[in-house]
This record gives sequence, structure tokens and C-alpha cells, in this order.
Amino acid sequence: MTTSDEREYKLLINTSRDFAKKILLPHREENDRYPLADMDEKIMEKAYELDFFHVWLPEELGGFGGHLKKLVLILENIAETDAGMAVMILINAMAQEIILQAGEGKALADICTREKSVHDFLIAFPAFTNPFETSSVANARKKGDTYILNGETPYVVLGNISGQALVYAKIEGDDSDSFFLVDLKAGSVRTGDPVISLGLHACPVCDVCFHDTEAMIIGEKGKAPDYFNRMYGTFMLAGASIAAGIMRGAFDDALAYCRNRVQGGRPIGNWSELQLMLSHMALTVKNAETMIACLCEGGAGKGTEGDEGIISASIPIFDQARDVTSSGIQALGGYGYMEDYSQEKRFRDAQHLQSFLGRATLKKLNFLKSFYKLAS
Amino acid sequence: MFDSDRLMDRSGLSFQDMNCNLAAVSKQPKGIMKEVKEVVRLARKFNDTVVRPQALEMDRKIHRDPDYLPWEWVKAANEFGFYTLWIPKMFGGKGYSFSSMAYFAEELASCCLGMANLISVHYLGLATLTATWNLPLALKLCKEAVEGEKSGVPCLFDFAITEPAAGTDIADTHLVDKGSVALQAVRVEGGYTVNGTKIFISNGHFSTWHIVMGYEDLKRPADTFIFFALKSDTKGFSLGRKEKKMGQKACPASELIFHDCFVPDDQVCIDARQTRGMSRSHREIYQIIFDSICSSSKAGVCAFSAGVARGVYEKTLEHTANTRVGGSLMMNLEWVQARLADMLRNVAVTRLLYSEVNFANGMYGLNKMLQVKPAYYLYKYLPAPLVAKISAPIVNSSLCLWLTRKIQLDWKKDEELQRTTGWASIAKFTGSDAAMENCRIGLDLMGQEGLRNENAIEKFLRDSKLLQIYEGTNELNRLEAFKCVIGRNRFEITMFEDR
Repeated sequence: MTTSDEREYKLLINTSRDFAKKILLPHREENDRYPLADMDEKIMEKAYELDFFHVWLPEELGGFGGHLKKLVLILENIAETDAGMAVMILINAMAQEIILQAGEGKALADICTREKSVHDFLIAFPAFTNPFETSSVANARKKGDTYILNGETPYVVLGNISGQALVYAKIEGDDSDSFFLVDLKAGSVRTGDPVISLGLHACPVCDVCFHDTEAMIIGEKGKAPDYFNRMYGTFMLAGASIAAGIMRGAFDDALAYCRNRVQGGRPIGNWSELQLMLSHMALTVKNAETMIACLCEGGAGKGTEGDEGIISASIPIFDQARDVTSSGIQALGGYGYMEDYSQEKRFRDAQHLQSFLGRATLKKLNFLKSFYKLAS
Repeated sequence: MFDSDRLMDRSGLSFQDMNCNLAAVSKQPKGIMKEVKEVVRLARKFNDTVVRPQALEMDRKIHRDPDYLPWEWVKAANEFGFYTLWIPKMFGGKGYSFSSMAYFAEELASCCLGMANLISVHYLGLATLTATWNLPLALKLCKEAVEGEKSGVPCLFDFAITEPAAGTDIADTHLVDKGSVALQAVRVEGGYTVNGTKIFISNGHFSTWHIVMGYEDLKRPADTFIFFALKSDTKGFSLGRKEKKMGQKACPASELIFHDCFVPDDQVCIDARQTRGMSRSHREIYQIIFDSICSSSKAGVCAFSAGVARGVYEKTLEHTANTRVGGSLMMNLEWVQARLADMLRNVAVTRLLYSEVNFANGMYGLNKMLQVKPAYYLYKYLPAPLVAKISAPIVNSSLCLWLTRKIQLDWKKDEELQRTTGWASIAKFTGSDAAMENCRIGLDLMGQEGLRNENAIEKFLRDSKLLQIYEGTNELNRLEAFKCVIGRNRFEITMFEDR
């Protein structure tokens, strides 16, 4: 790693931490009330101004050219304060990556050229499922040079705030899965009300319905599983970095509380049962951070050859985040359950993230099938 | 000599310790079974007509406006007569056996844990009045609850012990003496003047009567504790903030503020003056009262847990029966079948555990007095007005007060208290962990569908996390189980002296 790389990483860390502490933190509780209350759009605009949504783009479009370590540093440091914003950045980057994998860089360039606001720029994507496990997907019909979509895509992340969505649909006739880019402002698209969810409230989600909606196929017909799988390992690790950031926040707050809160005449952090809980948390957080850092240094994100290692490291981090954030609440007792303290939010966010790219157990089963060649 | 009590194991536990159910089988009145069926039927009707149609909308409403108080639910429960169901007939209530309450709580919790808590906490206040055995005061307050049902203006009780700087401290005399309690009751002519704050008090905003724990000397809290009842219109009393909780939103957690509140002597449940002359010290009585209350309340938490575990299981079952993954119906996948079996196990084990605590409480705890067969049947079949007429002079007599306290506090056997407390603690942490496990399995099986509020699983998860915290964190309850079950009679054992 060169000195200029180091400087760049440091700058990224400082920028994302500054953004988290100065912009996200003061509005965290209020934004967590979304969609049952308004969201402060200025935060999203600020993230856009700071180019967080551009980070994955090729350099010629103003990004870092698919640099996983840089994405991970941003996600981890933002997620420590508010995972909702980190997931917004992640989902947008995922959609960009699939488009790039499909060789449709021009489509991204078009989006960048015509963007006038953060809304125009963002790409929505249904990221809390594995598209090829669900039975109800939209269908596509060829019409001249283009395709017509009908049906519903549920739980599209960023669906109600983005200019376009990347969705998958089955093409009539051959039943193959393909990705399509859809203009969400088209009159034939109906976006539902924002979905009220377990966590990640600041990252809006909605169902999207298509009624004879014109859509652009992304890449080759029937190749959606290939593009998805090429993106999968890298973005599982990026998702795991959000889980790691959530864990770091939960641990730091638990430790600070246990140093100050007194029980039986002494700080609760001095009681060995609680020390053991904190120790489990510390070990898990450090282990996850180290694992992610090593994988980024080791060239993760540069092809699918290393995916077995990346996925095997990433999946447990999601489970660990679920447990660490639960302990984060326990350490604070009744206070941990209250919205004024961020532990309950981290707990919900970590549980929510478990479903990133599909059901947690199915991800484990798929890992075995993918790398150990058992029957699917 | 062959010791049959040591038959079951070699760990120093007796047959009775490990088999409260067998010990209770011949002694428990059969009528309790019928009562259980009746209250479960009532709870189901209430769920179908009031709770289920509104639970998710109520959750969203309070998320939108954290200060909203769901009085309509309080009133609906009052109209169903739920605030007097378990008030003994001698106090004017319907006199259902306390044991049946857990089954009722499970049923409500299978639909909405916030609602289950909203009703059950009222009886936590009553349990405290009962545990101090101040029957004249219990009679006075229960009459108001009965009147509230008749008039349509609900009269609820709450139970206030937690303070801003003292939560877990309160649970044990060793801890409380070194803790940071601050609610002081200063002796004045005819009563006490009270100053301080209580926090996280379930139903605080709804309650007419607050059953509060305070201390005469903040440096010697265990030796000077006092329980008193304070009405919400008392001068100097005010409600502070309503907490913004992650779940169980229908049941408010309130801050109670006491500023020079006068508590007359006839509203003191128990204090050092009243225990003077007893063979047990005031601090020993602190632990007996506290453990007796918790033996009941922790059974309730376990019943809540069974309800949640069942609610999640039923929702998940329905989802897996109607959802295909990779072309297969989920319910036909072996790994899904095994997880559903795990979920059902969690429901069954949790229910068995609260039943065992019920048996223990019926044999050795707070429920014993009214579950002894002659007393049970006498109260069951005598008309309520007659019971009230006969009981009132007895309940109000000083002889009755002295005798019940002598039996329930002074002559209370340590091993019986340890049995109920130990089982209650085990049930509490096992049940709540099982409920959480079901929520996690449910969320995993339902995938992104489980994340949506409209499908209820995520609400169950948010609601359930509190089960691992209130009535003592699960970490504390493990230590309580050690103290009462494993460490019992081992004189080399020390508690809360970790170095």
C-alpha cells in the first residue's frame, strides 16, 4: 500500500465519520421515525454532495472504480452511527455493479449525464431477497427493441426516492431471468406507500407495480443469475462491513455505559458476568473488523475466484451482529430498550440485515451448494 | 438411612424442588382447570374483537406519536371485567384463581404483548399488596377497582420500584445496601413525606394507585424499606415522561415524580414499625416480600414468553404452508420442518415451565392461601355478597393482620421461598430466551416478508426483547437461580461479592 493510498483511506474515514457525527447523529432518532414521520432530505443530499453514492462508479464517471476497500471504509464508519444511510449507499452501489457486470456501463453514464438531483441519480433494487428463490416476480414481454413489464416487485429498496430501479423479471416464453432498468417516473409505474419495516428506517422501501411499463434489458437475456452471482460475494462483504459497523457502535456504547453505571456500589463493568458479555462483544467486533480488512487488502472484489473465502467470512458476521446488538441492549438494561439510546435501533438494524440478499439459512445452504457441488 | 427426598438427584435438591407438579397434583383443587378454560375463552374473545383488529395499527400510532396513550384499550379491558377477574371474592372481585392468570396472559401475548402487560401489571400491584399481607389496605384499594369496573372509569394499580440510578440493585438486600436508591420516605406525624423519582413504571400513566417502594434511611435501605400506596391525585405527585420504547408500545413505561407527597399511615403497606416484634428482621422480610412478588411476576413473564413463542410459531407455520422457495413449498423442506419443530418445542417447554412455577406458587408461594382446597371451595361456591359480608370484619381485624403476617412472613420456610424464587427465575430467563429464539427463527423463515410490520413478526421481536430485561435482566435471573437452587445450603457460597 502506497503512502498516497494511506492518505486517501484516512481522508475517507475522516469524511465518513464527520458526516456521521455532524450530519447523521443529530437527526438519527427523528429519521428513525420514517415512514411514520417525515425524513430530512437534506441528509441524503449531503451524502450525495460528498459523492458517497458515486463511490462504486468507474473513475471516468467520478467514482473510485469499484474499489471495495474504499466502499467498506465508508459503510463501516457510517453504519457505526446510522446503518440506514450505509444501506442506501450499499444498495445503489450494488445496482451499479450489476449494470457494470452486464456490460451496460453506458446506461450508468446516461444516468450520470442527466442527473439533476440525488433522486435522479439513485438506482433502487430489491436487495432483501435472493431473486432466484422467489416464485412471484414480474414478467417481461419483448416489443420491438424493448421490453414491456407487468406484475409486481415487492420490497424495492430506495423505490420511492429513486429515478430508476433495477429489477428482475421472467421473460415470457422461455421463463428465463433477466435484469431490467425501469424509469420509476413513468406513468405506468405505481410505487406503493413506504413499507414500515423492522429496522433501517432511514432507508426507504416500497413495493413497485408495473402495468405495460417499458423497460431496458440489462445485459443478455436470461443472464441475470450470472450477473447477480458475480456481484454476490463482493457485496456480501460490503454488507458485512455494515454489520461490523453496527456492532462497533453497540460495543462502544455498552462499554461506555458499563464504565459509568454503578450497581451494588461499583461500576457494572467490574462484575465478571458483565465483563464476559463485553469480552464476547469485543472479540466478535475485532474479529469481524480484522477479517473484513484482511479480505479487502487481499484483493476481494476483483473477481469471483475468492468468493468462497469472502462469503464464508461474511455470513457469520451478520449472525454475530444480531447477537452483539442483543447484548448491547442487555448491558444497558432498561435504558437499552429505549429509543433515546441507540442500542435498540442497532438491534433492529442488525436483525433486519440478516435478510440481506435472502434468508439467512438459505444463504448458508447456497454456500454449500455453490462451493461443494451438492445438488441444488 | 434411605432419604426419599434425595431420590431424584445428588445435588442437594429435594424431590419437592424438582417436582412441584407431582406434589401439587393431589392438593390442587380441580376447579382450577375449569377456570383456566373460562379465562382462556375470554381472552380469545377479547383478542378477536379488540386486540387483533387493532394491534398493528396501535403499534404504528404510538410509533408515530410516542406520547399517545391507548385509553381505549384500558377501557375495553375494563368493560370485559379484566381488572377484577383475579381480585379475591373477599375483596369484592370475581375471585378467579391466580394460577389461571398465566394462561390468560399467554393467550393475550400470543396476539399483542403490550396488551398482555397492560392488564397483567395491574395484578402486579395487587400481588405487592398481597405479599405485604396488609389485607385492610388491599380491601380498600380492591373496592375502588371493583367500583371502577361498575362506573366505567377504570381504576388500575401499578408497581413502582425502579429508580434512575437503581434497577438491579433493588432485587437483593446485599445489592441495595450498596446501591444508589433515592426515593426517601421521612417519618412525620401520621405518616410519611415522600420525595424522589421512579422510572420505567409500566402503566404509570393509567394507574389510579401506585404501589411504591421507598426507604426511610437511604444509607440503610434494606433495614428501612417501606411499601406504600399513593393515589395519583395526591398533592406533590406528578407524572413525568412517557418512555419511548422499542416495543410493547401499548403499555406505557412512565416516570413517577414525588415531591413532598404525604402518605398517611393507612396507606402504608408495610414499614419497619409494622414488622417490629417479628422474629425475622426487617431486611429478611424485604427479601421475602420481594421474592414472593417476583415468583408471581416472573411466572407471568414466562407466560408472556409462551404467548409470543406461539404467536410467532403460528404466523411462521402459515407462511411456510403458503410460500414456495426455489419451486418447493417451504413446509416440505426438511430444514424448515426441523425449525418448525424447534419453535413448537419452545412453546411447549415455556408453557411447562410457567405451569411448574404456578404449581410451586400454589404449594409454597403467594397463591397458597386461596388454593388450599377448603378455602378454595368455600370462596368458590359462597355467593360473593355473603363472602364480602363475612370477610370484611375478619380482614380488617388486627388479629387477622398479625396472624397472616406471622404465617406468611415470620414462619415462612426458607426452602419454600427458594423453591418458588428459583423456579421463577429459571422460567423467566428460559422462557424469554425461547421466545426470542422463535422470533429469530420466524424472521429467518419469512425472509423479507418478516421484515414488514403488517406481517406482525417484527413486532413480536421488538416486543419480546423486553422479556429479557424486565423483572430483572436474564443475567440477574441466572444469578438468582444459582442463589436459590444451586447455592442453597452451601455455606461457602457468597453472592454479589465478585472481585
